[in-house]
Amino acid sequence: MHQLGAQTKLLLALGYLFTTAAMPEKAWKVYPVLLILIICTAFLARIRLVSLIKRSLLAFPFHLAALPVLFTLPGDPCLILSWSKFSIAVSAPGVNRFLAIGAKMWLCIQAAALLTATTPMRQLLAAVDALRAPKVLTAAAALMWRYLFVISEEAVRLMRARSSRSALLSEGQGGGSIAWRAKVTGGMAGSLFLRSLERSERIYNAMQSRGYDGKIRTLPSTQAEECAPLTLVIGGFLFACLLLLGTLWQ
Amino acid sequence: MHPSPPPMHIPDGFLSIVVSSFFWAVSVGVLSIALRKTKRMLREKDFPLMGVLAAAIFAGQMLNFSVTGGTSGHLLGAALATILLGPWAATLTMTVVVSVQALIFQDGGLLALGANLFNMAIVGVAVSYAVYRLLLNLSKKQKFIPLAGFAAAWSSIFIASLSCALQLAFSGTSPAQIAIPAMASIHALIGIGEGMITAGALIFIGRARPDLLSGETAVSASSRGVFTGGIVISVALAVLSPLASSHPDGLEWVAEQQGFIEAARSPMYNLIPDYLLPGVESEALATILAGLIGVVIVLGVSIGITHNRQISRPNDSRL
Amino acid sequence: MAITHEKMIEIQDLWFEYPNKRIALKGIDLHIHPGEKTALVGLNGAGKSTLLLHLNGILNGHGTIWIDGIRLTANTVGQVRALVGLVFQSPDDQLFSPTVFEDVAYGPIYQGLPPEEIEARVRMALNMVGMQDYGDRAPYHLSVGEKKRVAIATVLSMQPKILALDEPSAGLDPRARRSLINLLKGLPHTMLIATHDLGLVEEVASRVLVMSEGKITADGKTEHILKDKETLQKYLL
Repeated sequence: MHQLGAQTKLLLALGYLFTTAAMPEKAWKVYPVLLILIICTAFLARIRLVSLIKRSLLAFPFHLAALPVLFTLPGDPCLILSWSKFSIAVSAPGVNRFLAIGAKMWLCIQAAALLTATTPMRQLLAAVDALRAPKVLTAAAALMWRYLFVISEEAVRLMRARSSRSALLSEGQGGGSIAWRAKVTGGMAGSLFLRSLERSERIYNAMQSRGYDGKIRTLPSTQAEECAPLTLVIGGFLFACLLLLGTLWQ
Repeated sequence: MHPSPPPMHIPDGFLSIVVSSFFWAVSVGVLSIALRKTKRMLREKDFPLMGVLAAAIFAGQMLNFSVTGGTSGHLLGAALATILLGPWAATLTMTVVVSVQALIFQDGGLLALGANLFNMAIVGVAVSYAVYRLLLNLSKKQKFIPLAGFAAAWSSIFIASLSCALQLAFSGTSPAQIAIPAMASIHALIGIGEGMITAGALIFIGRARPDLLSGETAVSASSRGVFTGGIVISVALAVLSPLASSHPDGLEWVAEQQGFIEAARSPMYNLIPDYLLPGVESEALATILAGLIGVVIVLGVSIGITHNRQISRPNDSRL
Repeated sequence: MAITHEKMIEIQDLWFEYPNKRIALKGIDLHIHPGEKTALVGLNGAGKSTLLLHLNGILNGHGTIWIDGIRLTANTVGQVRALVGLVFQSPDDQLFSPTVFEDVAYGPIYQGLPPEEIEARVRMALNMVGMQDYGDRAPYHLSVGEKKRVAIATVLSMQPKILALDEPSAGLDPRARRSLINLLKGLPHTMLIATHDLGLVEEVASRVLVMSEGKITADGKTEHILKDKETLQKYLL
């Protein structure tokens, strides 16, 4: 799995995402197949499922946004919640859609997380590059990736400096109004931005002194770009079959 | 090291294929314009600037401050980027941020990336730009900049959340009459945090490097098109949202006009849900109206303050 | 070392004013011979870094600069940048690529060399600084001392004749500093080193320039300047 070209992996992952998102919501018999695909891939790539699942928890608060469909989708009521005079009906199609959204979201996050876990950022960017994404964007993304950790450390240092000075005299809320606290945080963001701006000027100088002339050039890369057409065709066929299966077998 | 995801990053599975493809197409279209514009306008040093500022925005999203209890305010950064870089470069910078978040951190989906880019890199930036320019036209005073920044940041979050809610509604994953007021009211609050941090950042930058905020930089050098675009987006979303939430059938009507209804009937897509609970309508409308009134108040207060300042300036100079 | 009488660096009456009206260089005159290792000392704000940034045309003041017989103008700036390897103070600013290899390859790529030649240059440069096994590493994961070495390799790969180093020993622990000094002593290039580290000056440089408020206020052999208590007291301590 780790040896597969980054471009192939990216395309397969996108195919998987498309298949999952386009799957009819009542195709409950096909969802397990999609899950098995994830588990097998994780197993082949020797990625621990636990770490994958942890990553997926990040997006779960968003599932709340789908909660209202439980009540608003027309259909047979399968549960009626009453509270004094008010009562509200949960519809069967509503439950089905809510669960389907949750399942799709979860499967998609697993697939995306698998892609990230098996492909280093650099190769991923090369793959995006090979898919004809604009060079300015991929080069800026590479630069961002390089400085993300440097600047994050700066942010952590700023926050540490703030917390080491925000002692509490007694239990409870610290001093200062919310507006004041926001202003302090804003000052931190401002200084982070300024430092980054000045850093970008120094980086620009460093690039310039090594010949940068406004055009972005990189080594013609040798690895990671090789596409495996056969794998892609098999994958595409598999996804098409799953979609067909999901449409017919509900 | 990663911040709690701001609720605006839509994961995969939430948007129908039609909606995701539509917004991919729109975003790619706008981005290609942005790329062409920046190619002409950017100086050589702006590419490293975009990369490093993208990292700073990403890291800046870690910064937060406690509001009450467990809740905290934090930064999305579209408005700050717009004010410092100008709209086109800010769009590209936010594109890099949002794409890397989706690609590496699964913060927002890959199929949904088109929609997320539309909300955060396009709507967020265009609205920030329009509001900021609009307010700065009223007063060029240094002291006014943070206020304009606050309004720009708040509006960008608020309007972008409307766009997000509409995408969910069109996909049938969250009914319009609930999603829109809910998203709008949550983000009216989140927007205050964004606005305050942005204003704080601008105060800091104004003291340390006032040259960066002087009107002659990137912001003013940009075209009128973005300004108009930002205004149009704001107004369209502000009008469309209450319409959609109070007349959910309206969505169906739009879809029918577009010929989407056929797609909606096919088993592959389920675009437009039919709605129950007619009682919620008026409440939804009220929430949206409250949001709109909020916009008007922010604008009104800012205009009022500048107006007063301009009147009192002659006195100041005599003192 | 054979010191000929031709000049590797020649600067005549160089003035520079920052946009904020601060005059950083006030009439610099300077000759440096091929192979000469010169230290540039002086307090912060004396103009050392500003002077280094003029050597390859990053900053453009008033005055004339000749590098290896080429006059620095808008037309020759590309040529000059290939001759002058500028090593910045913060290696984090200099190493902007995702991997060490790509960073060292950056200069040769922009020189338009064929891929095999680029590869050979990178190997050579990493060998010279003793970092040959670090090609695939991310700069972020290196120690400060390792970053400094790679930063030097990024300019060595361009095969410059001059190395201009800004505070090369700042922030290094004693062992890393020691190995950096040995590295600089071993390299054959003409060097101009801006530094506060008088120990490094003593070991590496044969000549010292003292800068103060945008001017060169003393110029002489290292052993003379470092013993000249009066000059040091006046401009440095």
